[in-house]
Amino acid sequence: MARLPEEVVEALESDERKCMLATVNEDGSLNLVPVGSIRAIGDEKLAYACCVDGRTTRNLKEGRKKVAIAIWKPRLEGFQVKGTLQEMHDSGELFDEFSSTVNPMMETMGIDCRVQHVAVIKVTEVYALTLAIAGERMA
Amino acid sequence: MAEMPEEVVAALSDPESLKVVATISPTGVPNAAIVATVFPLDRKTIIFADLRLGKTRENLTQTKKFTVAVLRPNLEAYQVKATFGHFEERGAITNMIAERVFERSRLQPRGVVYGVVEEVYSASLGNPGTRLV
Repeated sequence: MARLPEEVVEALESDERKCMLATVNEDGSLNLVPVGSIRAIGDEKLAYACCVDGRTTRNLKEGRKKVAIAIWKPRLEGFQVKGTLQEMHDSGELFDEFSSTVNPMMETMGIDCRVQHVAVIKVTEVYALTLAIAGERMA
Repeated sequence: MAEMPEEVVAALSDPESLKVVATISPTGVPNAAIVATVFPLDRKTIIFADLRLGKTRENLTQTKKFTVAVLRPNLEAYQVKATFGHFEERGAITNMIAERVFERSRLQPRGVVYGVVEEVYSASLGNPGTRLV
């Protein structure tokens, strides 16, 4: 387990930040998708809402639990968080919390989907992706 | 080998798009790096500069697979799966990319990575996971 540095938590709290989540497919290829709802849960975990039962969720449910998340905060700040799926919530406090913010947002955007699960990722490594120091391990 | 649809080429050519390259280590650990220099050389070929590629380059030479995801400011998004072709340190394309990169960042790339497009998917919220090619 690794601790999320303060600047990563701050980047995740920014409205402008964008995140991409990589998981591993059964044939060893990579699945890489934008994920809008990622946020820090304490300083050692991340969580995000799965609104589609697609490839990402399937990969995690089938036991390929390792993920890499690229976080970009305009214009020049970037981080990579590596982690492992810890749990998937289909109900409960965290699920309700994500549903209450993500579902209305989807509705506003005219997208017909709702939160199906909330995935909790245990952080294992953190790296800088900001160009001048890209690849430096932060945690 | 597959050909990227026009809208994917446009997204990859858009300097305002966020572009991320994911690779995998021989032990199955994914790696995701922001690579602003990703560019469609043509519909079948993706290239990007090696500025500070560490793990990405190491993984490419060992496992050959990579995936590029691109997200436009309007949230249109695509996922392109590719196979590592080769690494070029010198040549007309590499020189052109090096000039562009230097203009924007004052950094000198070590070369250019070439990849062959294999599959293309939508990653937009409206139709995520739909295979385009």
